[in-house]
Amino acid sequence: MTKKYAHIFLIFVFGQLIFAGCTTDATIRRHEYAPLLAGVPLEKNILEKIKTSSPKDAVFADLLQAFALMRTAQLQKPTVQKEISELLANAAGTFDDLRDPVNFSKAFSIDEDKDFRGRPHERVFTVTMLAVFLMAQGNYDLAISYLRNAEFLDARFQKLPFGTDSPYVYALMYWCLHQRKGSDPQEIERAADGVKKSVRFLTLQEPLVKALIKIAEVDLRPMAISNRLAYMIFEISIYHSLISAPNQADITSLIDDAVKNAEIFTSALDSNFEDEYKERLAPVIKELAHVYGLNNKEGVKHLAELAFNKVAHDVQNIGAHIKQLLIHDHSLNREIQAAVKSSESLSAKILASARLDKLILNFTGMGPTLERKGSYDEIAVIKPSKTANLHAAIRQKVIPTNIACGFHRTQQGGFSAVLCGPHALKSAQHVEALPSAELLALSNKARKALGRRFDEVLKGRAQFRAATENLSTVGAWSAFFLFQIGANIINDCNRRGEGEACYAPAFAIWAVAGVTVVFTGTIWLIGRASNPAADSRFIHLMYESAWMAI
Amino acid sequence: MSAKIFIAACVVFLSNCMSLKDAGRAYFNPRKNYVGVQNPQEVIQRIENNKKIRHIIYGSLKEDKIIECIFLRNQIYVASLMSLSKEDKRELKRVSEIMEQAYQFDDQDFLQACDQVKNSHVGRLFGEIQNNYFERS
Repeated sequence: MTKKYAHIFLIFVFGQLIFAGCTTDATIRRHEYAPLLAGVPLEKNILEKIKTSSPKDAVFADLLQAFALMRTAQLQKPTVQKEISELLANAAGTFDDLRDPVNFSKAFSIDEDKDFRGRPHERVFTVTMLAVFLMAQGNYDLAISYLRNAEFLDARFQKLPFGTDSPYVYALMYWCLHQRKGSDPQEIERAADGVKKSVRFLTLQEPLVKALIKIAEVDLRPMAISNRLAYMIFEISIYHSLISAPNQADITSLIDDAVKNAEIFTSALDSNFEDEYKERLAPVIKELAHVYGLNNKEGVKHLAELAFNKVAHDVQNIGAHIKQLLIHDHSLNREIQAAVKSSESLSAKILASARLDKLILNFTGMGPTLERKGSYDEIAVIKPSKTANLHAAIRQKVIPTNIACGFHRTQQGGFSAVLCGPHALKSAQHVEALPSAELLALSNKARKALGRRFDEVLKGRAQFRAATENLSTVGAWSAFFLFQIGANIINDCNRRGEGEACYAPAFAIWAVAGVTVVFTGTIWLIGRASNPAADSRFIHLMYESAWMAI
Repeated sequence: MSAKIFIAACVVFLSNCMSLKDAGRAYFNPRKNYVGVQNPQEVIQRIENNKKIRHIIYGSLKEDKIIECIFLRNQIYVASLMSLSKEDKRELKRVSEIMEQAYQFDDQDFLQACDQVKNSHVGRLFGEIQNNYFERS
């Protein structure tokens, strides 16, 4: 009998070892990617070999190769430009088959075995870089359609599709439309509108959110549910108003617009902000139900409904308080007025530059990187680059740039693209110090969706695996103690010299222990079968900043 | 054997049932973190740090009054989560309904409810505990 159990135990242990060995390596650590990891492009045949042997990584390899070429190859050569364009176009072509995820965190957490389609910021950057190369070739029609795609791709995985908060996409679109003959004036106006709104979004969000925080800090009832909900919704509303309210709107109108939109967000809370709601409000409602003595399902539902019904009223209060604060808090008022002015003048400068026949862009720095953390590597943290602008603001600096049409290599793998329209003056090779604005800050884009930090953790699968492991541990110990008890009973029977009839309870306990072992083992194996590790594939060679001479 | 188990159960039962005074103190010495209240130091710091903005938004409302009302609400909230005798529970439920409903509803209602509850038996008892807390700290 004991032998039989020993066999079962051994089979179980071997099973575990076999499954434990079935873990997959991070793609990026595979030896064929070593040159790309160092930023060196691969030979064409090696790239093809990678793509053929692992089709799920084809887009990953194409993008790494494209950016490695951008960083090291002679960009002036038309063949290099063509090669980069083709690689980027291959990748961009696959973004269409991307299925909408249930929510943002799940979109963020594609595991290693799925076809690589990049993270939202990687897709947007890929498509806009492709547009830049097409613009350099004078292919404005195709460039415009890719830029529209970039706008869509950026908005696609936002919780509420507002458009893109990147003035870079709209500025390129505006220039392209001016260079292309017969562009629809409405289309040009739309691109200009996009520049103004996205610049406003980046320059005004910090002072407005600061005002909101100041009010929350003095609130009399910060822990009231509908009030909490109202602050959460108001923050979303501010972002929405900054990117969507008419350009002529002054600060008071923007706040009124945010208040007006609160109802839309309240109704979308369940579907679009489920995680935040669960994390921030559901525990408070549950606890409050205990305070009221309504701690059943209906009671919790009733309190949640009450909070939802009152939230519009609380949002109005917050709006009124912000307006009050703007009138009486002179330092905050000055800060916001300065931001409004800076937003207007910057938009005007960007549009003026994008109306010229020559558009000068600079790509600098190494983009963000990815780090995996947690017991199962289930946490994918995007690490901003050292040179990243972590604030929602547009940086400006003077960049010495060669102003001759075409591509020019700059420091540390960077390059400048001097895009010349059909009527541009062809200047000689000549470096000028050009004031430039950072219209795309990739680390910021990678970490935030329209101003809001998003989830980094692959919660579901990691929690499932942790739960199976905990259960297995408890089960294993229980089985061990049951075996022990059974053995003690048998020893007692032997000591007392009683017959086999005395063994019956011990066998019964061992049977239970056996069932526990089988059950525990199954649970453990199911847990091991799930791989909660976050996707390691990340395009670390992208540029941190896209600057436009203004 | 069964007598021992019975006595142990009684001890556990009686130790779970605290007095109203102890329940009023629970907010200042919490055994666990409650998600519906901020801790006393946090409340004081929050109210004292932003005097200028508070004045802009709430006018001449005194900080003592704000802290007193927030503490009273928080004491009642935490006490409501404790095990109490039936009588104390009933008394606490009465004031908790007044206070919490107003707290959840509106600033003005909350301040009025605070004045009303302050004059009740629970309000006076919890007020004393607040005073002791301030004396100690």
